[in-house]
Amino acid sequence: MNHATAARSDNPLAWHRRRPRREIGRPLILGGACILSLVALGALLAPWLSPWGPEDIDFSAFLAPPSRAHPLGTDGNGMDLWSRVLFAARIDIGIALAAVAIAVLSGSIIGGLVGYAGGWVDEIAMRLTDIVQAFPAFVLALIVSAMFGTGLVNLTLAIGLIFAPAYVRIMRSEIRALRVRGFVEAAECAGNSRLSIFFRHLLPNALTPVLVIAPLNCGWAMLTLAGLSFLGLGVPVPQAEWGAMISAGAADVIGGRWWTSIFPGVSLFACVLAFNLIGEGFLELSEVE
Amino acid sequence: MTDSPSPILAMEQVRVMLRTRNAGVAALSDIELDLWPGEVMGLVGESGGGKSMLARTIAGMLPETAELSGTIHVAGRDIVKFEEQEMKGHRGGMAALCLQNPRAALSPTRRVGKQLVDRLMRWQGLDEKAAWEEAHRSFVGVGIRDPARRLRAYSHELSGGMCQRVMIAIALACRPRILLADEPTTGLDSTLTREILAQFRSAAQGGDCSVLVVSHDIASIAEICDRIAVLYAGVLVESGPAADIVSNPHHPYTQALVSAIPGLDGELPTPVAGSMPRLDAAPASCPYADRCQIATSICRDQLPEWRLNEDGRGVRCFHAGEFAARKVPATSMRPTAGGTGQDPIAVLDRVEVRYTGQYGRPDSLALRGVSLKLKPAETLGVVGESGCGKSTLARVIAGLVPSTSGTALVNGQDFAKISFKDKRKMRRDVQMVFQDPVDSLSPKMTVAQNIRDPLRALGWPREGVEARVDRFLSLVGLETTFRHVYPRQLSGGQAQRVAIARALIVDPSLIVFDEPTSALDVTVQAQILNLLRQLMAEGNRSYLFVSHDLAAVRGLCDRVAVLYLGKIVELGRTSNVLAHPLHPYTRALVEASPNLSGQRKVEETRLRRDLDEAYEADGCALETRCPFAEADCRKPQALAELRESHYAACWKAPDLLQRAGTQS
Repeated sequence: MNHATAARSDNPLAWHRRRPRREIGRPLILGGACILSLVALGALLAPWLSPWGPEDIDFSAFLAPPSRAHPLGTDGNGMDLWSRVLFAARIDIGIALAAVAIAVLSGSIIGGLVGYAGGWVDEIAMRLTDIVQAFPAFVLALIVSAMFGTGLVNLTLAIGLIFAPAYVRIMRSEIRALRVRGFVEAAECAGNSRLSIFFRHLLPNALTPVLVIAPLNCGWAMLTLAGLSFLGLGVPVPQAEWGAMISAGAADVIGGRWWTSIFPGVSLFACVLAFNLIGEGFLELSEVE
Repeated sequence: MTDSPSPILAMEQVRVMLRTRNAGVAALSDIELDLWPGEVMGLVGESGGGKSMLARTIAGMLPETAELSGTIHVAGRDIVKFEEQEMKGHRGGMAALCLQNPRAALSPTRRVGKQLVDRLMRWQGLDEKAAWEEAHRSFVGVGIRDPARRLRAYSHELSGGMCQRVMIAIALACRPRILLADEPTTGLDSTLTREILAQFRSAAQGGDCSVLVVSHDIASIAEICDRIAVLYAGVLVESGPAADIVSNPHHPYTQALVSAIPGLDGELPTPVAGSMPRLDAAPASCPYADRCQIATSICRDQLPEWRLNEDGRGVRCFHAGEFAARKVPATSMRPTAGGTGQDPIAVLDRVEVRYTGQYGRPDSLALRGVSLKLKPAETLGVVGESGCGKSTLARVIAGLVPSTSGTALVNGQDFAKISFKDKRKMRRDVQMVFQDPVDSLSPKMTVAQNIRDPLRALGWPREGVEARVDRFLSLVGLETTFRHVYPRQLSGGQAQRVAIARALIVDPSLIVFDEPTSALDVTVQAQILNLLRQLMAEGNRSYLFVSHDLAAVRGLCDRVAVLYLGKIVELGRTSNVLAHPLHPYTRALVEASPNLSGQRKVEETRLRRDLDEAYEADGCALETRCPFAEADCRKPQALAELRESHYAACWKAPDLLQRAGTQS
């Protein structure tokens, strides 16, 4: 193999010498999946992994450092951090996945249909996404919670709404590029109805970029959720959620009690990293293809 | 060939291996080739044979994963040993490459004149003013009319043929010793192909420059080449003077290539079965042995030596020339014209199609009043240059493009006047096969899913569908193992067979073929044409066959309509129209279509401009290009029956006919 590489770089007739791309897609996805499944396992087995409930208060230990009784210490309310970190994973991953699923489904179907329809339908839809995208994400979430109240469902919908326009745009441009291809004309000639052309022939061929971006978006969705909670717009206290926990512990970290924010922070970091790894992996694979 | 003491290019023992992740591909194996100053050499073979790789090797433009060995002497120096710096001088200065897709090769954001001037200033050391003057001259030199305007154009404003001319001018601006052209005419129609190839011939005229033209179409380049070299699976199998190669091939593969070309006498090509192997190492035996009809055991054990004879012909074959020159008798013409007297299956009456111009471009009229009738069991050919409205006509009949005015009836129903839902019912009667076979198949569906898609879409009962798919797969010559294969895994020929099976499966009464073979290799074309001939011989279905390949039309069609700028200029029985064309446009088409007779034809009817330069005229649309045009041609021309069921829209046709009669 070394010999081949040497021969290649000696070859003056090669006109550009970019190093051949190593195939890293699969390892990236595998790494991300490992981290995620570890976190997910922890979340699922939380009641068995920790003797404390996420909202149980140990009146004998406020802001206790990590110890045998509380492996990750306790927060200012005397709640066990290990248990809270585990239970928070349910909320964080659950909301992120649900929000992205809403965004992917609604965004790609709307985007695909307006791209296929074209004309004024397309124009109106694009201007609407312009409006939604013109608002900063947090402001949008703020509006939604102000209008419909806070709560997990509204929070999920708000984050879904933040991400949906991106899918509308991606699908629209994919479908617009695809609909002039020969197989679409052939499908019409074969007698397909318009809906059948869209769902059977166009949609399956337009999904690749969506599948690449969706995992990346899961990471962003978690960050958005944590950010909203940090600002007090997210999950209501005292429910366990990483962003809210970081926020609550921020003041204590300054006082030297590092464990209150560090552990939820590390968990959040690990999950976002895992989602990004999976997204990058899909991207690599789609490029290799 | 000029008498010069040494060749400009001498390749010895050249091998190119392409390393991929899992395996290697032997792109070129033991190439022995020389090129003399002032010579035009043609490099032919099917795709995957290494033609482009050979051109890229000479140009110093190999892909990064290529490993090269052997010697390549260009003007006495071995470029294999060149350092990167020397290589930069070689590319362009010694060897300049014209790429296959000229529009993609030109920078879209800079005016083509500026791109040419940059080259002239860099390679010929001209100052800017002199360079612009030289650019003007070189545009004229490559046959660009109105050069001052074209120099200011961007590549997207020029037609494909014009872009290719610009590309040639830019390549020549480097004053290369070797001009390499990689499939310069692929995708161009025959009138334009002849024009472009003539530019290469004239580039070599001075004797300073040698030209290597890569093409898969041996017929079109045979006329302009001094010598032809044939590549198969990266192995040079034959080379020699062009006329000898074509008239008397020694290697069985060359023979196959030559006989795969349909003749204008209505004789359909003899297909060769099989396809080219992909070699993962330099071959140890003859790579063609598996497809060869005269192969013996030695062919499968050893690689034949490259033998160069004194008459300048080289061949790599144990049995060179041992086959009798098979000539298939011209019995392949369809014997009967479609049933006369019955109700026509499709009737077009003064059909016009107007495409609305987008982004401020004016509307364009693709069809300007086409009237014709298609009888049951008849095959009607539609010919003309690219951009003449052939594909639009096909789509109107297939119900994919609505007519703007006029009526197009298929089985008595007008596609333009019924709802999308009712149109679907009519699909049972009309199906279409498209030009780009792979693109016309749904990429995420398997072959079987693609074939049964019309059945599903039209609500066919589910029972027996799978058996029906299998039956039609075997009808088009594919094995049932192809069922679960995806379109991107298919070769062009296989994909077109699948597309044909998909069109046949609902048993329509009319199938529209839109250039079904133009995207395919020559030998594959021959296979598809033969498949079509078998289908058409079956009888009671009608076909509309759109093509710019007159020879294929001659072999398949009962009648032919010649379309020019959206109007039918000539219509009649195929044998009459192509053998005794009345309209000057048809004559130009017939004369431009490549033939292998070996003799260079007397070019009588040569159109004066490219199609895109023809402006709209009130009268005869051809007037601006016609060599016989007179003042009276500005009057509108109508189709007139000049011979029995042979119509032409040219008032001078009888006169021209007489002139041709007295000459011969």
